[in-house]
Amino acid sequence: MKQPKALFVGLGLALVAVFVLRGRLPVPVEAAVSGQAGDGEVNLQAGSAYLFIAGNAFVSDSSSTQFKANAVGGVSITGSTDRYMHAPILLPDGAVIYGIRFYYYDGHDPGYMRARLVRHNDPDFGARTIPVSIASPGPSAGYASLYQAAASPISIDNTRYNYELEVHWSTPSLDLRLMGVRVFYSPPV
Amino acid sequence: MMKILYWLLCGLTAFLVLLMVTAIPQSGSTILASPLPAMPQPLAGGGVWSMAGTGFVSEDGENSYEYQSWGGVKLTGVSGTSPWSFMNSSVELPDGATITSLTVYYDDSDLGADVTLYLRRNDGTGGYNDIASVGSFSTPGMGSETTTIIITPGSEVVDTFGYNYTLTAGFGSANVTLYGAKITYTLPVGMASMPAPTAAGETQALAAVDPAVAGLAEAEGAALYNDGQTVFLAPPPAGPAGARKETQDRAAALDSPSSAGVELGPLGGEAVYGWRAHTIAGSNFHPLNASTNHEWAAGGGRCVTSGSTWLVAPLDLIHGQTVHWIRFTFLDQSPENASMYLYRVDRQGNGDYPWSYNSDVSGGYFTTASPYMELTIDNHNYAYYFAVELGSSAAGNDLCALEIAVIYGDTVYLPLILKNS
Repeated sequence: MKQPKALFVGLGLALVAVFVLRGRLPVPVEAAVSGQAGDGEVNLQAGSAYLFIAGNAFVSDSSSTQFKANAVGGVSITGSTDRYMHAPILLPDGAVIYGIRFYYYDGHDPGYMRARLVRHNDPDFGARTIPVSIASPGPSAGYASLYQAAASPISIDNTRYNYELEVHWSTPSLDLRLMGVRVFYSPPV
Repeated sequence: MMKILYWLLCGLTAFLVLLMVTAIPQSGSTILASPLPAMPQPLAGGGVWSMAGTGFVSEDGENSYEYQSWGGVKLTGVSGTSPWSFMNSSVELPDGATITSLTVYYDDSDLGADVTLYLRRNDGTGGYNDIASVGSFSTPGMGSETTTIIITPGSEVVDTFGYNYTLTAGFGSANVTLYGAKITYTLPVGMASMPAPTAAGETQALAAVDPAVAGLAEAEGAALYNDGQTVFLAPPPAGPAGARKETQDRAAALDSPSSAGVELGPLGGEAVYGWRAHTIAGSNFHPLNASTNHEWAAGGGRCVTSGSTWLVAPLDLIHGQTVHWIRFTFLDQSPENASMYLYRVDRQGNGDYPWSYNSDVSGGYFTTASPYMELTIDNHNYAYYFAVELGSSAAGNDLCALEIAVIYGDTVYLPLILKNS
């Protein structure tokens, strides 16, 4: 009866070794790591992944958009009525997006910024859906971030759609800075 | 004593058996029931990321910059009174990777000034670390410089939860051109590794397709279809297959089951497995030259309203992936034509177009697809980007880039920025 015990010990050791080798040991969920609990970002499971795009990698909506990037990944719109910037979400087919975290610097009152995850519908160009939209709260808050979960998980289908992040400034100001957007997703299996 | 040894032996045997069985690397999702083609040899558990100079965007909407042949860019407004101006690029590397080197490609004809790359990680709240920096410090003319020096120890391990990563190019003169950048990295034990680099012009051999897989492309969704002979973007034509419809109205192609599909290419003798699409909205293109006046268009497009008519976007695929088709969607209501080029540049002033397309249609939204190709991404030797020319003179909102999709084979499965898996 003791030989089976040895087998169990061996199997246990093997499982631990496999999990360690493949990096599948459970790790703290995001809230525990970042201290950002309470905003809906706590449901992420091991196996989730992150696409973190810097603000200064976004492109302007039009040539009339005046913008200024900074050295720490941020960008501000400084003029124009066309106050949007864009960045692609390039994730593999089958990935599932749960939500986005919007990093910003808001030193302007009452100005604010709004980040959106946009899916352009194919083949009906001109139509689009906005599964996630999140705005800085308005009164100046300095550096901050906010998380917004999608109402339902968004499964990436690059054959029929394309996906991007779109950020809008309510007013041009160097005190409104897009610092980046982090996309939370699980990779395809 | 013998019992103890027996137990240990039993345990060790079970350990080894289970380890061998379960530690087989997972492959990516695939649509084929047949065996995958043999994987290319690993590149010592590492990878390489590449970007042409044209992939960088200006830090300031009022800066003047100009395209230089085959992927270069220079800031023309840099002067003695404002000796530094910058362009930026996002850098997306696998989570957990360890950055090992940074290379800048340049043409420096100013003995007193350089173009310098800064690889930086930013925490989104104003905090940052410089990971590496290298410039055209020592060699005039066309050249490259590589550094393996990590400025902030520990920052070389990619953490996509905590940081975003950027490359900033600082231009000290209007006489220096940035042709591109390359980052090499290693991967943690257990993660998929990259295939070996290919020599210039070489492609990876692919296995022949199993006849049993004919029709399985439907598993990718209704937008992809193959009838065993030809691959379509939509249901196949009612008549005999094979009549190429290079360009046609996209609504007719995708909305009406009875209409002809957009033919992508033949299946015969080619491997089709693990297809994925990589899709870039027109709104994510940026002008090739600062003289371009452009506008966002409904549907995520971008149009050129005056000035230079060229737009550009980098193609950022993983080293070793194989491009099979390119799909270009545009709005054309103008007598002017839309042209699209996939550039492959060596970041030293040379390059070619693996595929280009010139539209002579008009009257609405159109989609065109390239012939079948096997273009293996080789980030060691090249950088890749798309350039779109919207007319020889600006056609306003009548000629717009809507989308470029790349359908590629996942010969390498490495989820970008994979955490905890």
